[in-house]
Amino acid sequence: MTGSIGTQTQPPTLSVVRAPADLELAEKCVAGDRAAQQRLFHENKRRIHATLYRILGSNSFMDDLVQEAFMNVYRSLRLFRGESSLATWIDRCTVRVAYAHITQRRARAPHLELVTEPPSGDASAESRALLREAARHLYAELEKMDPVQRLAFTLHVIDGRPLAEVAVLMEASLVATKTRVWRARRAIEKRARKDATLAAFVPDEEENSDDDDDGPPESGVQEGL
Amino acid sequence: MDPIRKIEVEPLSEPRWAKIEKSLFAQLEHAELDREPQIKMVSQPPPARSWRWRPAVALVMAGAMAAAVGALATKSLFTSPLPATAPVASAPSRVVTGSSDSHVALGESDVDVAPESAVLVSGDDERGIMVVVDRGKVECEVAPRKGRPPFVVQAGDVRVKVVGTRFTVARDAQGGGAHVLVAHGIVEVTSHGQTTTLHDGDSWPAAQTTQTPTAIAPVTPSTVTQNDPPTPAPRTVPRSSRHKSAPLSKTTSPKAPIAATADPPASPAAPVAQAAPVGTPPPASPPSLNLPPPPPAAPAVVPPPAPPQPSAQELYESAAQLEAQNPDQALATYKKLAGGGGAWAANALFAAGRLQAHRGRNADAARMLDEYLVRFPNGANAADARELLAKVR
Repeated sequence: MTGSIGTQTQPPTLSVVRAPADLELAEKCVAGDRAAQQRLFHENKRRIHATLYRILGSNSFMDDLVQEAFMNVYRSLRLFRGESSLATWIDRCTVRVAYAHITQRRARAPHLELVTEPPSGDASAESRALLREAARHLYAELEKMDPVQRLAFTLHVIDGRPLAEVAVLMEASLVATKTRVWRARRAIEKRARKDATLAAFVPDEEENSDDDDDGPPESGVQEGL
Repeated sequence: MDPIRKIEVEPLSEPRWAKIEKSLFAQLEHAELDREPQIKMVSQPPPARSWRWRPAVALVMAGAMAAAVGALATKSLFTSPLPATAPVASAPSRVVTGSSDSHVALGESDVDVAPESAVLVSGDDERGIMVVVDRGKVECEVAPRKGRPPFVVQAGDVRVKVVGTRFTVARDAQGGGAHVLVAHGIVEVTSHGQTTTLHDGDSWPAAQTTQTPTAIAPVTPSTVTQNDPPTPAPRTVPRSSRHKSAPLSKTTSPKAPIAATADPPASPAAPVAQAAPVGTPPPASPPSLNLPPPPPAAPAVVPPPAPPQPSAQELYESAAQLEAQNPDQALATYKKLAGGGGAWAANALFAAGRLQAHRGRNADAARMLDEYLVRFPNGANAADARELLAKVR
């Protein structure tokens, strides 16, 4: 872990997107057009929130993080050339904010014990409670994980983004990204063998045979982070 | 589908989004203003007052700043999407405190961020300083601007522009309004387009109720700048004497040297265009303390019903004036007033607790402040009493 998600090799690039609307909106934002800035905020606030939520697992600190992500977006838009979509640009800013938060929180906060939520009598409520409980177990495990593995895992497995996109967002190579996801999954599965709640939540390895991240680490594990 | 993907995002409420948006755009506004060109002011000799005596404090600040810079450097790899382009010096920095407070030195000015607070600080003395209070409280000690761009604190809709002073800005628990308390100096508060000038001991807004006059807690003596004049004893003016749309608690105590004549108005290009420069008459529409008194129908000072004896207000004021010379006598008067009822009893009880706290008689202060909170849990000084109580304990 080096503190940067950049890699030595060229990260994969998604198809070049030249979206005039994106570029125009970005230029207006850079020019200080408040209406454009507000439009960007309203069009992307839920996207940013969802990404942060799936990485972090809760809305704690969310107000600050969303603001920080948007400030990063606004500050960096002057460099936006439309070579990726604005959404990807925003996601990249968001991932950086999440990474910074994870690493800083880990440095200063003690690990909190999980508190089991008492089940209710309602079946659907019971099911939801179990799901929340499992999610808490999952994020507790993720909390112990290397931040870049956690990012790769949450973006790919929980947020459902393709590995190539995760690699772009993390400015890492596809191989490194795949390795991170694989390692994170292994750690979760190992934990799930001792944690029934988590086990019910995490799919078996065999069930993921269609996934492209179930292979062992290849070369490039040490790449970047 | 992978079961893990069943995790659903817990939405944020609309009020929470509104709060985020408001705070975000307040930050953004200053980030943009940071880039505006500054008009050069005629250079003036450095102020020959309190700020020159503070090298020791400055050393402490330097240490804190170094620590902060170190922490930010660690963070910067990831907080800026494209680090090479991020203007480090002027980029806003977010300070979020947990259970302990935090100190930030900004040029010659200091900002103490209270526990459980979140603020964004940016700028420097040359470009102007902006502090955005997201939540919690900040206490700022600001060097006289002397032609430099202003020091601005934004708390929600409330904007505070500073000439050179010590003051506190606190967001309320709901994140809606803000409370400003000036220890000494002059600040301008702009809220909803209305600008109000605050002087020593003033607070904004005033009391929670329209009948209760507000006593202002002076700054703790240990934190007052050495060469500054002692914080004058507060004298409150009943709210009825004020302009209705200016929710200001005004004291009539003598002004500190950091007055309009001592400090020129800030650069017109400074990032607070809508705030009237200190020392010049405020615009006609926003009510201000600098405005002439209201029409005769609303006299400048409306005392409580005049008894044959000195009124409670007069007693209170006499006690306030005695604080420095004869604190025991002042305390006795406060206690006498506190034994009665009404708004002045509340003020007197709080003032007694505050006086004892400042004299280092913490047990006595705690007892009085406790009594204040029991008797007047929603009193105008309840928040100050809780804060002071926490300190003396």
